[in-house]
Amino acid sequence: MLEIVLQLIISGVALGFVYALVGVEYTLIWQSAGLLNIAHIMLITGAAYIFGGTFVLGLGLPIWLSVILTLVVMFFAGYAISEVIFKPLRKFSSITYSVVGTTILGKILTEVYRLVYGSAAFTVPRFLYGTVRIGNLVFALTYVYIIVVAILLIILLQIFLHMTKPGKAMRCVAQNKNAAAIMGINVSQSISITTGISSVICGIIGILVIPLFQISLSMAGTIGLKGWAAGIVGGFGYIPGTILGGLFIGITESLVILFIPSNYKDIVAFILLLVVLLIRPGGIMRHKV
Amino acid sequence: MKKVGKSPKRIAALLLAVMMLLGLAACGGSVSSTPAADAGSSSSTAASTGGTDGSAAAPSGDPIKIGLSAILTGPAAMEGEHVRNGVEMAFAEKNAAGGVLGRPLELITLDDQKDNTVMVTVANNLVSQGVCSVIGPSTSTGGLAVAQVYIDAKIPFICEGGSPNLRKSVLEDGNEWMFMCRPNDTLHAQASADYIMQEMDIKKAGMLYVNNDFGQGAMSIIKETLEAGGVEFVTETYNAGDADVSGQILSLKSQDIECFIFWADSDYVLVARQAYELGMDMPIVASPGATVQAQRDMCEPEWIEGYIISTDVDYASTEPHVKNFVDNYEAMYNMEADLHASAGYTASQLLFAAIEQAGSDDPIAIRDALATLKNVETPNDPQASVDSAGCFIHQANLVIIDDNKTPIVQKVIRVEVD
Repeated sequence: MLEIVLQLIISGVALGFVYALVGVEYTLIWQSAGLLNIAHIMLITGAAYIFGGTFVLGLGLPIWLSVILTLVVMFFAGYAISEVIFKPLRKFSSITYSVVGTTILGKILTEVYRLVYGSAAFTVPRFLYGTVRIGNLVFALTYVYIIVVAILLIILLQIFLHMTKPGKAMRCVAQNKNAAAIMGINVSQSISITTGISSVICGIIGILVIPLFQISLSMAGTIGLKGWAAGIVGGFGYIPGTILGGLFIGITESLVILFIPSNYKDIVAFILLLVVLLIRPGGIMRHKV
Repeated sequence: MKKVGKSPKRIAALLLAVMMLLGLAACGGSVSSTPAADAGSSSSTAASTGGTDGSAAAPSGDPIKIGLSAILTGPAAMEGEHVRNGVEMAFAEKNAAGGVLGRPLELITLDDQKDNTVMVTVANNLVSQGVCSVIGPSTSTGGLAVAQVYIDAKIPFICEGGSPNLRKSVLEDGNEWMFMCRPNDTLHAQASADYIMQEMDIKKAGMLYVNNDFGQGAMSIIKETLEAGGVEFVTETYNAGDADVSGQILSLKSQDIECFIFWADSDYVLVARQAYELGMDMPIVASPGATVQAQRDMCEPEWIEGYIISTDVDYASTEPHVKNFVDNYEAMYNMEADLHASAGYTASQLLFAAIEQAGSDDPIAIRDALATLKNVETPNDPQASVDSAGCFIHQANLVIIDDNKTPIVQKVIRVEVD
């Protein structure tokens, strides 16, 4: 029994970090541009296609180089999306336009991936493959990579946001765009850099989850939804809350199968979401909405 | 209130327009009519690979219009591509061999996106185009969704779904316009359960199944058979799209099961990988996924080695009804045939035989012919014969996956046609 509980905690933490990263990437855009990026699911998917389909399997590049190139491509793709799509969408008074606009962007990306890479799911053979044994416990190496990379990424992001000039500019823009502009910050460029960084996080998520979902057009649907839930449960628009929300959902839905039939575990994330919205709209971190 | 600029408006309008165009292309706009002349581009290939001598008289007269509802866009488009390939190959071969009743065959293909609502739209569209019969949709729920359209239009259709609910629709709801060209899911589940009872000396088995019609149907059949044979049976389930099933697998493992059974749909690779990683070193009986090339390619050999699977077709068979199809398919499309391809090809052959038996392309006559059609040689069944529930295929192949991911047939299972 203990073995199962520990196993579930490990997988719950790993998936929790995935949800947390999804929450972080869309929170960054929400904070900087005030937009809901519905297309983030297809950015995650796109990173997996570019990494696996183009660099590793297509060009036969080594994994480390493929990762770097994918993240570079993702940064510039995010930057371009911000310049071409987000900036005009920001000028509309309602976020409905950004929801519609980014939904359409997601649909267009779906068809582009299908045309470029075909419809069949595929994977990168033996990528993050293997297990780690500690006594009777067996962990998939994928989970270990997810946890380690996610922790490193969150630390790096905090350092970037608090200790670098562009990071501080991003935080200023998130807090008050007019004041940031008066202080001489190039708000427009800051938003595009933020979108680029958000896109890089999408890239990291897309690469990390390949062993779990393979590479297909539907690979990021579930984590995309639960990433939204993570953000709201933790405290919408608040990065530490989002991380906690992701871990809370991941571990809870993983352990809950010890008490209820496992086919109900997906409901847990959404019940948590509903409960938080009703009785604690600021999220478990009580962040002001 | 912020002023809405002209430029964003233009961009949004442009995006919406592109979206609408894509939507149209995905839905009604993807009509890819493949008339006899069209098929000619591939029919010459088919003639040379399909075993025809090319001396058959060219078909003439009005074309016989047949509709195809296939998944051509979206995440499951690969399934639809195989189905369309199988159907188009059958049409090309038949047209090259003189057509049906001396007339050319015309295929009207529409994309149903694996969406039940779109499938109904597609069905109405095909009816309005005057087709005499339809192949598809390829899902069981889709088959049930479009049934009323074809009942009202009095047009027969051959669904590729395998749910027991399709049989129920024919037997209990009087849906006499629907026929099926793949083995019913119950056949695979029953064959797997029978194999466990006959070949394995076990006292306890555990099953992990996807929580949908496909998984639940198989679970109830396997449970009934195993428990009737005195084998203790425990289950765990998961939802399609779950990223982790390790808890369920470990739960089954901790209950000292001697055989692990899993019934997975799109998550097949995930379950196979996690079962391997968690050391399920016992006989594993699984749903047909590992016999489908697209799924098998994503599995490492060690994950699926030794899997016992009941599947539609033994693609390595040297029997002419399979070998010709497999070889021609590979030559024509440069890819391995899978169960979706053979389903499309089989459905086409059944319709051709029915039209020939009916002697006309009158939909009612074709339905009546389908309802009595016997012994049609198809890749799925060398003696495809309709039963009282409209199902044509009564054969499955029990295979074991070897260390090179190749399915090796252990036995061919046939059930009596009622």
